[in-house]
Amino acid sequence: MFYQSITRLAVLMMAAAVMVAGCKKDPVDPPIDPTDDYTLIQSGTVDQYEVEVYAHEDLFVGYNPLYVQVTNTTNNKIEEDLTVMLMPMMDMGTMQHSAPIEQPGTANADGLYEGQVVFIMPSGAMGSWTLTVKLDDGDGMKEVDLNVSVSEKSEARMLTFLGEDAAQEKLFVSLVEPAEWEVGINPFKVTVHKRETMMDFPAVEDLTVEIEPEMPTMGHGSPNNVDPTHDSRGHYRGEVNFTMTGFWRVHLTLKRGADMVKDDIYFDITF
Amino acid sequence: MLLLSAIVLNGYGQQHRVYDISDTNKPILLEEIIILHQPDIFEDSTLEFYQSSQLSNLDMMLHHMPDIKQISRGAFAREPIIHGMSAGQIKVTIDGMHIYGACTDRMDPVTAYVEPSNLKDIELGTGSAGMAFGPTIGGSLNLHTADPHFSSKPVTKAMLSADYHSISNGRDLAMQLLTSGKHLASEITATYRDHNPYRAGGGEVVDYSQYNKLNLSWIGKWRINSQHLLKADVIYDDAWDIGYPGLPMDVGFAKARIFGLDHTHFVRHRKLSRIHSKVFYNVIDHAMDDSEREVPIHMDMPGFSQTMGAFSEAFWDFGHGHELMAKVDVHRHNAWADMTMYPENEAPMYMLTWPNTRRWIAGSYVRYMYHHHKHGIQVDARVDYANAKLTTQEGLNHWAVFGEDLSSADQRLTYNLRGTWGYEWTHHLRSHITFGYSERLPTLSEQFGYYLYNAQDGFDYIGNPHLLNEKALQATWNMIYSGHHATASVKVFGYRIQDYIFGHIDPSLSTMTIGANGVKRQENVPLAYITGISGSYHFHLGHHWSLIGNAEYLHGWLDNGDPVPQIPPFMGVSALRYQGKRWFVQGESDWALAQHRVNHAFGEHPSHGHSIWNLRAVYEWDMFHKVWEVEMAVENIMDQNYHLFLDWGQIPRQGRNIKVGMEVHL
Ligand SMILES: [Cu+2]
Repeated sequence: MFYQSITRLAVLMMAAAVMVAGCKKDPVDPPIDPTDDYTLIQSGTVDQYEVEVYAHEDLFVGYNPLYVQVTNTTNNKIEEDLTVMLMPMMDMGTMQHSAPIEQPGTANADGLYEGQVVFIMPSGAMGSWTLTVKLDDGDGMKEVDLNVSVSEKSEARMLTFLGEDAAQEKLFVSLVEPAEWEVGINPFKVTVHKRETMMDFPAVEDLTVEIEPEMPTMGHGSPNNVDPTHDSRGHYRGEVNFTMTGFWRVHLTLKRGADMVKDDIYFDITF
Repeated sequence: MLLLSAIVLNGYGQQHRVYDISDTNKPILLEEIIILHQPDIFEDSTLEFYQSSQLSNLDMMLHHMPDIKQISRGAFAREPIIHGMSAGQIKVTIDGMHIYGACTDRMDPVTAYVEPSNLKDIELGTGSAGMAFGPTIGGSLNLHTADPHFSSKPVTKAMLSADYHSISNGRDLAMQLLTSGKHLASEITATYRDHNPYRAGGGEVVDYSQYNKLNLSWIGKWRINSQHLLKADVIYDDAWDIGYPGLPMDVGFAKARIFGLDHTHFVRHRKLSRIHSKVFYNVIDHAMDDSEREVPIHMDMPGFSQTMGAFSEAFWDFGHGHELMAKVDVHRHNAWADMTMYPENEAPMYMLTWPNTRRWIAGSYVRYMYHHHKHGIQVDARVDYANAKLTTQEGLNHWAVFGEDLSSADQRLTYNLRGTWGYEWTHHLRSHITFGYSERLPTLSEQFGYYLYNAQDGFDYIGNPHLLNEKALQATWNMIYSGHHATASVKVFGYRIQDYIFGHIDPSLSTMTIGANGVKRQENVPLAYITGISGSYHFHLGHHWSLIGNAEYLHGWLDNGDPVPQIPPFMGVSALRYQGKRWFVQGESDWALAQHRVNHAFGEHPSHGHSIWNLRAVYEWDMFHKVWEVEMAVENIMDQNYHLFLDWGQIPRQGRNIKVGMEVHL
């Protein structure tokens, strides 16, 4: 009998340990507003359309995914069948310039028009940004101008310089941030654009990119990083490995064939 | 009948039988237990000799045991090493309970949680003899906690003792409270220690060598009836502000909470004599920091270890010299450790150094013994299944950096097999030959450790999830003389270790620790060899004099010709005692030759030899119907500045120490 009770106690102890891990309820999902996770940047109206521009966070110098929601005010329906174009413009008084853009076109599964803009300067005394949203509903082009404010992040998310190879292009390298940096393998994506004219910033697709992460404070790096390779539209995808949290610096080297385009540039990433 | 009641009272009949072999007063038992020389139990002679009071510490007692050496990183919690094997190569248990340290730097060996005041005896098994406690190649060290006896009339006894050490302005206090009756017995012990940084020989203070600790324990026994006995063990051990001069970090606190519940069923039915079962649970909480050190960036390194499990063992006596023991054993070990660095004006840097690991180990063990006339044989066999996993995505992500997908469990088996033949040449002289094959699991650090800095070689260590089990073939021959006035034994042994786990420099990795020499990965070295000879003796010279001591020589080499690391030089201890009626005086020496065979890759440095002399006197008298005892000792009389080969950082040991102690039995 006593022997049994001891055995039972042992079993109980084991069982208790196993149970601690279990027991999570799945909540019933209410219908989700797809913009819930985003920040409203600016809104305006044109004709019967109310246009709202969302982003993950306030606009910054660098690669900003933007989400445009268009509501028809006559019936309060979300319009999902338009074609939407974006046109950022900075007015610097004596001159104007645009920025690299990836146009939204048609709506995504959430009914949002998702495009990306690389803001290449902060708003301020030098000038201000206007984001023009163009709607095509099959009944003519409608435009709404939205004033938006762009700030510089404390850790730069875009690098600009003159290429050092024969082409001598004005290049913009932007970091496409994942939702969260973490210890482990992180996707490391950059976009590269060049300035063709003040209004035209096409993607640069023929570069070789090498990366080298470092913790400057400690002087160490990390193993098994994957150099980004070109995917499409000037996007280069690779992997960066972080062995701990803290302040990391990811050095980049850009080459075109055997020619050095730029080295000695880096993104600082603190998490 | 007398033997039976002894078993009932102690609940550990088997081990007592083992102990009986070295008891020269019972030569009649010699034949019966001829082959049970291992595990060797050091109860009376050695321990009693050095445990002159309840305040001598366990480290000091282990230092005097044959076959055991110690790795020292400071004045506190030295790590035991058996025949050049330590950490995961040996198994250290308290009353058979599995306990794992929570320190990635091995600052907290299990031996830190038992004090002389709650220690009953130390059971040592070298090499494959350790397998009764788990898969091990180097051996086992099992610390038996105090075992309060039942008594026919209610008895309450108490002991108080205190001492002072001049070398560290150190104070130790200990207390025991024993109450026992016919069916219940309980022992409560408390030990408190408070030591400042000590002075080395020559007078220089060794910074960061202080420690403070409080150890409380309760052991309760309940004899339910003649067949059932329950025993409970609770150990509460708190240490704080502990310096480790051999390491770049100290310890803010180290806490252990250890719980065990034993049940013994004296079946005595047919051939089954008894069943002993135990459930246990323990948590170890460890916090390292370098807040007192001058470092470029301060860091914290907490660690946590939790183990729970149960085992059950049954003993059969078939008569005619046949005996069998079988054991099943299962436990689960969870651990994590992390590191946070705090650079100035920058985000803290954080990583997991033990990335949330969980390991189940289930094993079974059988031991068969047979003796006939002058011959005896013993066969031991053990098999274990281990299942290890990283339990969090965060932990898995850490290892993904090294291209490792550790999402599925690491499963492995270990096998241990051992055979011993013993022969009794005369009534006083016997010898044994043992052959063993043993395997052990890689440790958590060896398998999953993440940038663990090793202060000895200055390298960061990365674990290797694909390590193979370490395996050893072992042969031992020993000869034991045990006469009326002397016991002496000599043992010759050799190990051929396959897949020896050793760190190799990986030049492709960059260091994590500022100033580290590089990064090493744990790898399996094809072969390593360790051989040695050890001897111990205890002579009674006339009525008053006795001489006790031991010495050991080890020699080891890897297959590339380098010496095996952590092989101490030829060294030993001895003590000569003059015993008066109620007093004794004892001279002790502690010596080692130089060691020039060092493993440079492991960061070892040659050591000089040393010889240290101590003088100790104890006097006992009655006063107020109580027994009083006073101890005076001078340790390291010549105030030598020395260190041992296995001392990290070549930190000098204590210089001349005057110790004064007092003990009263109430
Ligand atoms: Cu530690």
